Amino acid sequence: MNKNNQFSDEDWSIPIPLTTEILHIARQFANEQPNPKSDKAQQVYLNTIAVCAVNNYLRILGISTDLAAGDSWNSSIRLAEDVADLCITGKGSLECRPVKKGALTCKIPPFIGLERIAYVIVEIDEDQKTAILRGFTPKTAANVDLSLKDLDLLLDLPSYLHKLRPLVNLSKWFKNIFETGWKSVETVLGERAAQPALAFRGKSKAGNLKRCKILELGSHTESVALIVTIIPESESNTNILIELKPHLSQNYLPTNLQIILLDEYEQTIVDTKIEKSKQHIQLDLSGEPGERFSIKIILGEASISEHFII
Amino acid sequence: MKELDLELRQLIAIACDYPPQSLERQQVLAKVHLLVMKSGKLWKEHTSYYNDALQEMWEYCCEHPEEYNPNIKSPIVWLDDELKKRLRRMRDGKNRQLRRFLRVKQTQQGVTNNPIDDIVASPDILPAMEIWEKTILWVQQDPDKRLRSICFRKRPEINAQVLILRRLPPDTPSWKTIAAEFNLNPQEAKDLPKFYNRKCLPLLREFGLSQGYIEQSTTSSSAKIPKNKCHE
Repeated sequence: MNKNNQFSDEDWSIPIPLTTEILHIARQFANEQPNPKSDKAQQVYLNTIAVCAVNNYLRILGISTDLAAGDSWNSSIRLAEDVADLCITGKGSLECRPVKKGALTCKIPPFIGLERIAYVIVEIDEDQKTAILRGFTPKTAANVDLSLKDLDLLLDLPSYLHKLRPLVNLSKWFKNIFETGWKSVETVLGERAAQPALAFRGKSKAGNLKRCKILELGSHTESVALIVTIIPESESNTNILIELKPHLSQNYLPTNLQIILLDEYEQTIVDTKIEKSKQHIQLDLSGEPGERFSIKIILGEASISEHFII
Repeated sequence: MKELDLELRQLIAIACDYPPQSLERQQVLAKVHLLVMKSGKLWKEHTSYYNDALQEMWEYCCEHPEEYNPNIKSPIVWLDDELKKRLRRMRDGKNRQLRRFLRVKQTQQGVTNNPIDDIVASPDILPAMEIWEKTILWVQQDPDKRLRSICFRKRPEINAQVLILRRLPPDTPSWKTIAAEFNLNPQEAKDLPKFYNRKCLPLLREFGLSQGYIEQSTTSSSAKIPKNKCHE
């Protein structure tokens, strides 16, 4: 990189000058609080600046966001919770945490961690009317003091966002909204494969929804079909059937294929490996609306994760 | 300077090789932005709308790197020209606004030196208080009894209404305090915030959305004065 500038080579943080609009909106949001002089009002003020500064940076890079879709833009949520989220179109929410100038750590508020794809740490210099984007970190534990020493460079944020797979929203399937790549089983595997798994036929009924996605693990011959069936049981419970089948051109699933099912706290629920030729594997689970889980599929060096919300 | 100039020329050329919105282009533009901002070589002036012009310039130039002609000027000069163009426009716009503002103001309480700063600092307390009061009122009244019907573990006294009310200002007790208040055991205390996040917050979110936003964020960041302020 350029050696000719006044900053040290280690300094990769990004200055974002605060526009009149950012300061205006932040002031406005802070003034919604019952006591505009309170810590709560200050928190809202700084959160809003952090979210808007990151938004302005992403606008410069051409990464599309939906500022008004976040909890940080919801006037009622903002009253109750310490939120600084920014929706990245099709990806999920970035948490933009403000810190004071020169801070060494950043407090991550409890219970927001599950819903964020990454945290961007934003140092706010009110005197200079500048926000300094210090760096980011992918998922972290909530309710911790995050050290600002080991942040990833913000320059790497575009590639991080790029390879991030969107959260698959299973409730939206009932409204016929399917994420990219999720197609009907017939389309992907042909009529024969669309038959429900033997053990599951009894439960098969009209309200069920089934979609399939091809996951390419390294080469084309090593791709597998991930099939998800959702079976609404009651308002608070949904059964989910996860199946893996070989791709059309193959008879068996690749040996040594590993399947890991993780709950929303990233705890392993199932971890299984295919040791001999198998045509089909299935996992049953159930959960309530709003619950998250992930499936991780590993074959040699290749690994693919799909994240779901019920 | 020479080194920076060369590097920027190369980066802008690379950016143009990749399609708009592509990851590669975003990565290269991020480097251009960082190098220029850190170099301190951009035109600088102390006006209230400088940051607005700067943001607009960056958005425009990063969206149109192919407009840069390396045969005519250096990258910094290109960025400076685009920046100055916006500064000129904002200065003219501001002067127009200022004249209008002063005319109104002079008849009432005399001249304000920096009307924009004045506006940014002026609290819009009236519509603001409304949001807080409206939210509290909605939770207390719970018109369709939805909030009261959502209970934690068959404990009707720990319901969405009670929890949301505790979370709303002015006093926000910690989850530990709330758990102690309801005599929860350690496991229940751990599950309560999860219950709140999953079952209660969505209702509050829905209410917030139904109230709309005071001001949708606009895409550009020009130094505009809210219209209603001109008639004070």
